[in-house]
Amino acid sequence: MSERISLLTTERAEEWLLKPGVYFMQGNIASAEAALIAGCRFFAGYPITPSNEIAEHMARRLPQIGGYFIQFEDEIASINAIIGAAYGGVKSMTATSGPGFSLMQEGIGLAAMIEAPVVIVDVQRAGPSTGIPTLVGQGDVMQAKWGSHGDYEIVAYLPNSVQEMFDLTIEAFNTAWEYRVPVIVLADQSVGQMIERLKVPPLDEIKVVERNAPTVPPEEYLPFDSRYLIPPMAVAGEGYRFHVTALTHDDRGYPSTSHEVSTKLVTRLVRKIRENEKVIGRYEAIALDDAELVIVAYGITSRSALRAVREARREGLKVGLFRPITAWPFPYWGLREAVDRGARILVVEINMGQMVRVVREHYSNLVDIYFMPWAPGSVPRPHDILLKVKEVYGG
Amino acid sequence: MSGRLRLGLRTESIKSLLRLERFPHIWCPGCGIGTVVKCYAEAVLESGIPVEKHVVVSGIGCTSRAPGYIKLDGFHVIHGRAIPFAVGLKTVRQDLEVTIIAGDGDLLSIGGNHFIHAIRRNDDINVILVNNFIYGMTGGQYGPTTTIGSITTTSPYGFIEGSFNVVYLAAALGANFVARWTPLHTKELTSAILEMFKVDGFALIEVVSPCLIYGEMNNLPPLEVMKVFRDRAVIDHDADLSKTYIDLRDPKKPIVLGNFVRRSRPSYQVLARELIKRARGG
Amino acid sequence: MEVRLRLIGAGGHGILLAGNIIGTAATVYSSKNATMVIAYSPAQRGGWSRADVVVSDEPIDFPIFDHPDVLVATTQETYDLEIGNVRSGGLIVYEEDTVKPAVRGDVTQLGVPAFRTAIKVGFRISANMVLLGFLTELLKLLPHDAVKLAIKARVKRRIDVNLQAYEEGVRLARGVRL
Repeated sequence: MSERISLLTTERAEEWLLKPGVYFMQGNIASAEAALIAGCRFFAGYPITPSNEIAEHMARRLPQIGGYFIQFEDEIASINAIIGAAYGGVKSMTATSGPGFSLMQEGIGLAAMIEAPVVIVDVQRAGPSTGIPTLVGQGDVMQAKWGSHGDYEIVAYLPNSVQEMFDLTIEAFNTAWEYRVPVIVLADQSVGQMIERLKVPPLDEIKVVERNAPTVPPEEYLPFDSRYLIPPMAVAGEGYRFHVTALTHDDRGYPSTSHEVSTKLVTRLVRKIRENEKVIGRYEAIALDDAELVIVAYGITSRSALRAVREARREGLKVGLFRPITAWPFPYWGLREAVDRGARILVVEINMGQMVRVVREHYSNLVDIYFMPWAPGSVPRPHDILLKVKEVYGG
Repeated sequence: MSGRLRLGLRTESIKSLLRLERFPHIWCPGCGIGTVVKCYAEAVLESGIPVEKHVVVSGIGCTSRAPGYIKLDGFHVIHGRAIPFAVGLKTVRQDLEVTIIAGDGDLLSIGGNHFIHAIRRNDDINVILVNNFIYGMTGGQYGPTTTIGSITTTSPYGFIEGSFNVVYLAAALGANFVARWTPLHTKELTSAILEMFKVDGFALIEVVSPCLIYGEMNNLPPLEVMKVFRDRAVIDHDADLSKTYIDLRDPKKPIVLGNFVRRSRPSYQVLARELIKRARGG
Repeated sequence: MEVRLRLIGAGGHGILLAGNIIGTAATVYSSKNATMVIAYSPAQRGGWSRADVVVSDEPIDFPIFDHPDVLVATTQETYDLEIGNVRSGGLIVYEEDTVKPAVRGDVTQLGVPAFRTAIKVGFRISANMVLLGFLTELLKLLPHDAVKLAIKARVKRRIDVNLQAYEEGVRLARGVRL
């Protein structure tokens, strides 16, 4: 007979959380510790390089905090398990890399469709296919947004440091639970596995978003109430006795083949992110004010580009750096002023052309957009980027 | 339409657990799934567990539509993934009684890996697997339990593969409770479900069910199948499960039913709770 | 000032721990910045490990480098692998008893009997601490106190012996002029 305990044993959890202070810590581990601080109490995953440190750290740390870690039979199980846990009202995450991220796509679509708040850390490695498991890539940018079938929106963050592995993992949980959306921490092998300075602020200075629970009585509750952009979320066992389906559904959560219902649902699923793009979307602008050429780079590549910008400036070239902190929504508005001034754009990323397409979508009719493709397996060095900068200047 | 719906006497007792506004349901006349819903609902009401603590999860297919008609917290997720969804939910919410109602194709083909691993882990979930030997919703393709020689839309010359014996498989994997019944055996099915709720660990009931789609192609209309159940059913709780393979089309083969396996291997969830205590030094 | 150190040696030589101690001393126990990027030979066991550590007073823009200012190598294989990569004018510290140095005119090369010294202290595994003491004293990159605090924080067993090995390394560096 199963003992009927009510909820997770999270009492005294804060005693076990990472203490405020300065650490010399790996990016993947910083992400795991941040998740715990954000309230994550369930991790499901499958071993894969180069994200294993997250799972290994969670396997040790979650039980201390009263949470659960399960290494599942595959990534498909992992993503579906965290969606189930989220509907139990518990903050949940998984971590993976390229091949595993591919396997999770159908589940990400499920999370988007049934508005389950989950966090997926994808530590990108060299692809396609098995590629080079131990080495860096940035080839999952498009997959993060378009990887599952149908129309939906997700949010994806692009950490470029250990500090951001920490900060953006917390933000990922907050965004997931605020918008009821799957959120991806789109890291890369370099940022995930490098070790550097991490400053952990006092817990009371860290913003943590909790579930917006329904306040109406069960008979009035509509799980997908379209009067809201983001409906309040009931979870299992609270007496709401609600129905959830991955089929196209009406406000009651019942399947429907009506075009009106489909319109209402799918429109809301994209609107809740698109109408908040400027609230969610983030970027960093460095030396853009007078830049004649703007390098667009993210993740580890942005750090090489930053050095290239510094060296270019030393040589008198007016080069700036635009670093998207969210891949999705893409913070296109941050480039507007430089584009209006006539600055040209150079996109550098470790793939054969992904984010450059988005930049072109917004600005190709206004300025010249250049692209520096870089095959996965290494990070372009500042020297490589500087050469390209000079080529653009020269041409 | 739903406003004018009149329920038969058989459903009156479980009315409070039905989403009446969603009737009529999608199942074919003669299908066994409706009976499974009724037995499950009766068991829920009799279980002594508050209804709000019962959760029903399913994947995709005819059977997986069941949660849509049951007035509980219900999750009709994607094809093959009912088990991992349920495991995630149950692990973090052990106060809930989580039951999966899904079909043979969903649980054993696309979801087969989750099925074997959930039994290996001994997750504390209940699985009611409705075995109708075919993919009904997509129009009658063969599945992992289709029996040899069967005609389906994808085996027009007769099915030549082997097939799973569900109860033998689950028992071999170590499930704590394994049973098999049919929609003709409603009393036994309901009490098996009630027993399943009490099991700590993985509990499986296979419900061998008639299917109009399968019947049309194999000269076994649902009424015939119910006759097969009546005439060929053998209740043997101690049956040698290696000899319980079902073939509806073979008149010499008995349909062996029973509550075959009762084990008390501690569930993953109980062990995980103990692990938490150890990790916290208590 | 930004210094790029590459520590490389056989698995089990404590290369990653040494890198971690430098990084911890810089970030946690001094107000400096540090990054560390780890690489391994393809073999899971019996191969080499490499720690690329950058220490800087400023925020570090890019943690990856190809040409270290300082190379520390504890095996012949890894020394041979890396000698060509050290930047001109750089420094190579090699394990004296295991590495036969090659000729390279544009860098300074110093041999340190790290294993012999560690054995003398009583714990062969502490050879990395000998090298750490040697480097810290030689480069004046970090205060000794910070490094010792980092050793105490990071080393799991026999802290006293490790600190002793560190002091021996410091002693070996005294009188060495760059």
